[in-house]
Amino acid sequence: MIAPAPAWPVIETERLRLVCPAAPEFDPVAAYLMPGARLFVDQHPDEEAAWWSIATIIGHWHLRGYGHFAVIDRETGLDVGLVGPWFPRGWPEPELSWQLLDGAEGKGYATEAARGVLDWLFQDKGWASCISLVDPENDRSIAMVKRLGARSEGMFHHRMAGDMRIWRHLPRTVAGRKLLEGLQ
Amino acid sequence: MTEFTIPTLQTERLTLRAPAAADIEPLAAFYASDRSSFVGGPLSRDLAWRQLATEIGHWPLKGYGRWMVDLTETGETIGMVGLWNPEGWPEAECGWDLMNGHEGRGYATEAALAARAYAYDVLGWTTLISLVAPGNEGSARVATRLGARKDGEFTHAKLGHLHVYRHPGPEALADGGAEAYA
Repeated sequence: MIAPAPAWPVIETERLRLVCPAAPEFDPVAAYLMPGARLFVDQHPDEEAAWWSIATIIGHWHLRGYGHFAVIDRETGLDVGLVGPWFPRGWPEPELSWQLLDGAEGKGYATEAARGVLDWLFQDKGWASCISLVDPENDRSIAMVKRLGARSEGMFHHRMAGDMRIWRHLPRTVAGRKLLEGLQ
Repeated sequence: MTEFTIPTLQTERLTLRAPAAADIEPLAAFYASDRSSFVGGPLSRDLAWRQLATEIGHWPLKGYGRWMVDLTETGETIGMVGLWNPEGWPEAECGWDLMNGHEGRGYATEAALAARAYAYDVLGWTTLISLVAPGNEGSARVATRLGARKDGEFTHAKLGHLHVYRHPGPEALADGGAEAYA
């Protein structure tokens, strides 16, 4: 067993359940890779790339103790997408990012899931902040990070993804404020 | 299912163990070197980190994977050896990557024997291949020493043309055991 074993959190919001793809009760093969399963959220359309992405997402949880959650509609049980803090080597710091499956946009799912993840990071994990990297042309994502209360910082140039604006999320809850006061 | 444990295997000189975060150091060094050119490298340190994550994720997705190989006496990590079958592979293979400076001591063979025994005796497999890039003479020698024989060709989208070596099956190894080929 890889030690220390990370805890496998489950986050519940009003409409969504966020589960860790590395958790024992989650079956990524059935969820994403069986014939007839929904297409995995990924820029790459082919099955081979999807498999490698899933393996990497699971490994990220083991290496970092956090990562992308699989977001599931509590009522229907269907996958909605992936949301979570992502920090592969080469990133400036952990990035709250999200990818929704086709057809899941426009319902506020990404914002709702992101709020749940931010509460978990700030309250349960004790993080002082995290960032989102947003393409300056991506109006939809910019509107979302503003809704989340993030503040715009400078630019970050990523070798593969190009120029991205850094948006910083800070604790907004009572518990988070207490934490920040305790750190000062 | 993702519930999984990565067993630790002991051989005479080596410990095969689960990959962990600290393995970015030996892996980044390996993937920065020309030695990795036969297995998809060279890779940047950033991509080596992703490879490490993928190595770990392979275990719950397939129920097996590759181990990091340490010298038991010193704890030095000298290779990555094990059972590898990601999407896009023709079938499960036993692979061995040795870190720089650890060639010529029989480490790859010793670790691969343990991985093969795990495949046959724990997982119950009946056959096993190894893929060897043309020109990778060191790896071809290991395959031959393990009793594997050329059994066709495979072309991978990224890695290109590869020789398929097929290992003797568990029945063939039952008499005299794997050591007969070592």
